[in-house]
Amino acid sequence: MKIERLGNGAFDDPLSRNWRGLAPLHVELAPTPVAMAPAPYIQDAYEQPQRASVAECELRAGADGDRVYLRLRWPDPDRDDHISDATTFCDAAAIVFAPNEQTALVTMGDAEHPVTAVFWRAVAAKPLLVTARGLGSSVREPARGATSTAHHDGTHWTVALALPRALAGREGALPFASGASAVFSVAVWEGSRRERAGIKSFAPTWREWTLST
Amino acid sequence: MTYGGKTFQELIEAEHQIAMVMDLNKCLGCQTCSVACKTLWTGDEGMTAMYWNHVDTMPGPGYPKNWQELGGGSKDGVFQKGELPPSEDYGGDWDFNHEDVLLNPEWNDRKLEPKNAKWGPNWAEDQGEGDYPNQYYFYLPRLCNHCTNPACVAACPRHALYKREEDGIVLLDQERCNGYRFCIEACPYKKIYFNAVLEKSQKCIFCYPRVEQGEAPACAKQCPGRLRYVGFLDDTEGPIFKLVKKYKVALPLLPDRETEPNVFYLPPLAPPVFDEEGNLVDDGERIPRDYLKELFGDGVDHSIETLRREMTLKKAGQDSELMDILIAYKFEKNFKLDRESALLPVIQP
Repeated sequence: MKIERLGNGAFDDPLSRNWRGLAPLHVELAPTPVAMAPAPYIQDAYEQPQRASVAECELRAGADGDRVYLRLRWPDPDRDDHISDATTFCDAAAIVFAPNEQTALVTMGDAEHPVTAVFWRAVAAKPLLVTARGLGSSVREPARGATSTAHHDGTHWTVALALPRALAGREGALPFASGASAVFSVAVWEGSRRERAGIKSFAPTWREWTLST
Repeated sequence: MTYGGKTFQELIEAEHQIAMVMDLNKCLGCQTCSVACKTLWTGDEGMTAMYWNHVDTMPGPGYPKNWQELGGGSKDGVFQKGELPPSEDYGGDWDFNHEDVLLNPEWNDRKLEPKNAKWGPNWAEDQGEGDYPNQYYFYLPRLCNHCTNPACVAACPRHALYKREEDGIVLLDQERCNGYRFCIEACPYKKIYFNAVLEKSQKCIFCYPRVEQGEAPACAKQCPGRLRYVGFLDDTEGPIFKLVKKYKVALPLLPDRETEPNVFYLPPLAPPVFDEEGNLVDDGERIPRDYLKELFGDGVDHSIETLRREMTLKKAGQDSELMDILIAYKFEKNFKLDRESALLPVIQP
């Protein structure tokens, strides 16, 4: 995906007409393999879904001098944006970055190859950064200076993320600098289906990320 | 596969296992244990409906409602899917009519009562089962069983749950917990709770700060009925070893769930059975033996036979080490947590 240089206009509103000027990337999603869950209970008790809860999402991306803007849109008829008790889970989405395709995606990296994700949750006002070096190793931290705005229209979530180009987590900077290239994937959690942790829909192959501006 | 650098087996290994025994024949259902625990540990935000220790009336739906039917644990070594109880099955957060009682000039006519209560711990108190004149019930105090094969530890993809090496207490690292709640599903006793404010799971910690000082957990120490015993399973001189291993009268709850609990119970001996004419029925058992076996496994037969035999001995004026332990002449002997004999390494402050 080639990240386009943005002209004037606001991109922190997910419904802004400005997004129409950016080419959409349609990303097919698959269910995560339950057999790889880092917990014997999940491996035993959960059945492998044949289809992802969310089959596809749309990603648009652009950048100006200060920020990278991402907009994710995916079908979800249920708006799950609060957690009131043990049975309620929230909708969420993440875009995970790695330096190159040698990084294992399905395990969220490994000891030598970390990954960093921008993580949006419908219950949270701001996105988080999540870094991981393998299954069960993720660490959350605030994505400093990042904002998110989300809209649910009864059938879809549309989420706009505005991320400082200097954004960095504990594993280093995200590929937002001029000339950066990396790979990325997308994950979506459907709260009404009690998806959380590794129980989710995800893009099973890395896609290229190039930010030349 | 490793979890955060540790294998699952390493997460559940313990050098020694602390344990608790409760003599259900002595439980008054007074809930002092529940209050002691509540006061000490679960007064913070998001914990209103959370009782790490509570007392169910059995038979009954208990707390959370119908917890026995919510799955979890293992069967033939395979972990079983469990259900998550909704807030209403815990009873939710009760609102009380404080203003009505305290500010109303007619306050003498008002009593303090919850305004929105539809369920809660102790809701089915003293209901039980059976028909007149042979109704029956007994109290079952419950807390985390700090299992040897804890399904909750096996359920956490964050390896936030683990057994302490020195005493086998199952703890939940609040920093690592992301509130995924697989642990609540997996626990067949539903003794892990969800704090919706913090988005964290939380559970009984067996009062480990007290244990580290050689003090029994608050629920045990505050018990007016002196029905609780605390010590180490491998301390052959302690009451736990004698009740669980030597006399085999203390039994785990729902052993068929294969979690190997470390909280044990002496099954209740019920009052006699009456026939339709009101006469005592010889050898009648008011609490169905099958029901006790459903709760405590096949060891119930041996336990009850042993208890009756030893009671007979004691009544006849003969010595019975078992009865002396259960009578609890000196409450402090119910607890044996001293490090010298309990094989615990001394924990430096």
